[in-house]
Amino acid sequence: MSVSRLQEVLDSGRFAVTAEIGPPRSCETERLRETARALKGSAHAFNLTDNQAANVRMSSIASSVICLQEGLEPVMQMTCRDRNRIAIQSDVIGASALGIRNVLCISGDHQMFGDHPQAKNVYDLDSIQELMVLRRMRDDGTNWSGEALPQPPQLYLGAAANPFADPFEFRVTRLAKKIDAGAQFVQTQCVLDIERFKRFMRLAVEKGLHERVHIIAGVIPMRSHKAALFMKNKVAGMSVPDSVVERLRRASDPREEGIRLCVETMQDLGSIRGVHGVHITAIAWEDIIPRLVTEAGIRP
Amino acid sequence: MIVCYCCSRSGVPAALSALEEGGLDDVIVREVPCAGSVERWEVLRSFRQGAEGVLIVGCLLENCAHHYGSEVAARRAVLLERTVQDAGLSKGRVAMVHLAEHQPLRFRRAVEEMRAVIGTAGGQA
Amino acid sequence: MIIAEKKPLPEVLGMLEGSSEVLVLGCRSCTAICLVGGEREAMETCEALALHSEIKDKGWKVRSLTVERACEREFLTPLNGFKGTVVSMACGVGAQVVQEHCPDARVVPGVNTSNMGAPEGTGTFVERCAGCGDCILHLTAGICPIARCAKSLLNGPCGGSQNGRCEVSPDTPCAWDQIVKALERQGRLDLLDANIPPRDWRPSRNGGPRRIVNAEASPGDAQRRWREGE
Repeated sequence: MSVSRLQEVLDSGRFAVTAEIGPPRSCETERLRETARALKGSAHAFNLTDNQAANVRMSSIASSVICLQEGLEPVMQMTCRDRNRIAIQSDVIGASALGIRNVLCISGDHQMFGDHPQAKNVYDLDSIQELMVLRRMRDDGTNWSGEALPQPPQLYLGAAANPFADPFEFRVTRLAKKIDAGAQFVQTQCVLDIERFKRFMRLAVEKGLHERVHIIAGVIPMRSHKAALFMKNKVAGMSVPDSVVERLRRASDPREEGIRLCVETMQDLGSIRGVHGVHITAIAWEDIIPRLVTEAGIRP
Repeated sequence: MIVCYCCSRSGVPAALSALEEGGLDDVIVREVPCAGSVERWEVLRSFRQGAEGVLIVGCLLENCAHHYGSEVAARRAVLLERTVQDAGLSKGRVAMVHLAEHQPLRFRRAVEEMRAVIGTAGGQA
Repeated sequence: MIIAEKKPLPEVLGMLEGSSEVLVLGCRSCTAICLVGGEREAMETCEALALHSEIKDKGWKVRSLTVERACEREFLTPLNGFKGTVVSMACGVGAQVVQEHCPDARVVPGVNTSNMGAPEGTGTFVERCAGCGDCILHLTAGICPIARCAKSLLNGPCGGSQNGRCEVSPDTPCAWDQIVKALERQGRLDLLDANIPPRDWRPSRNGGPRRIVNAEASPGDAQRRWREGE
């Protein structure tokens, strides 16, 4: 039985497409609605980030609800950085009550990177423990303390995986741990280093993880070689091969080249064993998503 | 008055040669076994005893008889200079001088520089 | 040991307004070892305060005294009945015990107490323990993820771990990278297969100040009340 369209698509063996929408910095509801309307139909579900990069934004719950109202299926991200187990359970119950089904459990970017580095972080739970807590609510019909929930939340649980962080081999073990904890789908860090991603997938498939979880590979369109260099040098846990930087640097039209690169990557990813979908992160360039999925031939 | 904590191996012979040449009546030499052995509280007390500036005179960095004493002294001098400012004196009142025993000129120049620092702000201001 | 850091002098000076008798109290235990609050540092602070007082005509009567351990009252007898201002160079524990011992004194902190750590080379001190009250070092190769991971994660490194470094600062090793490598070396990586469930934070500081009673050394409440004739 599926509780969400994303689950239905993945469980039926179809190639899933998800895309990221960064909630606005303030109450710009209309802008969010416009983005939602423009993206409608370009993906099966849309991730609403939870104060991404630790910058204050509209909450992922509120922006998920707005997307729901516009007819988009949200994947609500929920970090462990800003909430303890009480808040996480309460927010997820509330989100489910409002019709949100897909929840992505992540530890969250450290507050040092955001606009409030002075903040105190929470980390009562880590992402794996968050999965354990939410799964218990759904499957056992109790909250973490054992209190019965007359009407438990309906959830499709997701996790993140970063094949490009270290220690490399342990990344596959960690993916297995997340599956054990309750992850049903996994979205990976953006793939630019496809060779390393293939190695990761080989290890995952060897362990049979692709049969226990749906792996959705992340992609990112880049507008210039500078964006690639920024990710290579400034973003922790990213692997950007020099060949990618060079390709964008040499291109006469870097924007078009970035789109081509992204489309090619999505097509490559589709042929890797165990990859069940792609997740598009087009930061501040969301309007390119419809074109990307059309050119890659993966439009839902 | 400029109090000079002088390492017995390098600072003291250099200072004594410089003093023999005359013109350094405002200088008080305090012999220490190593520049690195000068305590911070001692330096601060010198100011309470009337010093207008303090020089810590030790070996050349690569030639310290106690290997890293001169290096520690240099780092300490930087911190002390800050503390003395925080306590209320004008800046530049503590300085480190690295020299060899046959370099009295270097000692004299350091004293003259410290006099200039004191001169602009005046006394214990 | 407890690691502390020197408080900037202007901050300390600002706490002394209205004081007359000032005692800079050093501690020969932890803060002496981490080079901020021992006898030398107490004497230095004492001289700096005295110098400031003379320059700015504050009229403070400043002296310094260093005790074996400021956090145990048996070492504080020299302070009996002190009513002036104490600049504590001991950790926050010492400062509070001194305040308890001298209820009429004004105790101000001369250092910022930071963490429980160990020296790394000379003059550098790194946090090792968060005092969370439920030790799991047997599962993590003797490396504490609560104290040493920026997110206190219990189930492996986050996505920001790269080349053995923490995403928060390139100067910080990733604790989970160290744990995985150490367990690998010891052939005990299987320890990480099982997920550690959400932990009980009550032994940490969530229940207010923690009180640890030694069953042998402590007379217990009933006994104490009887002895004290309540």
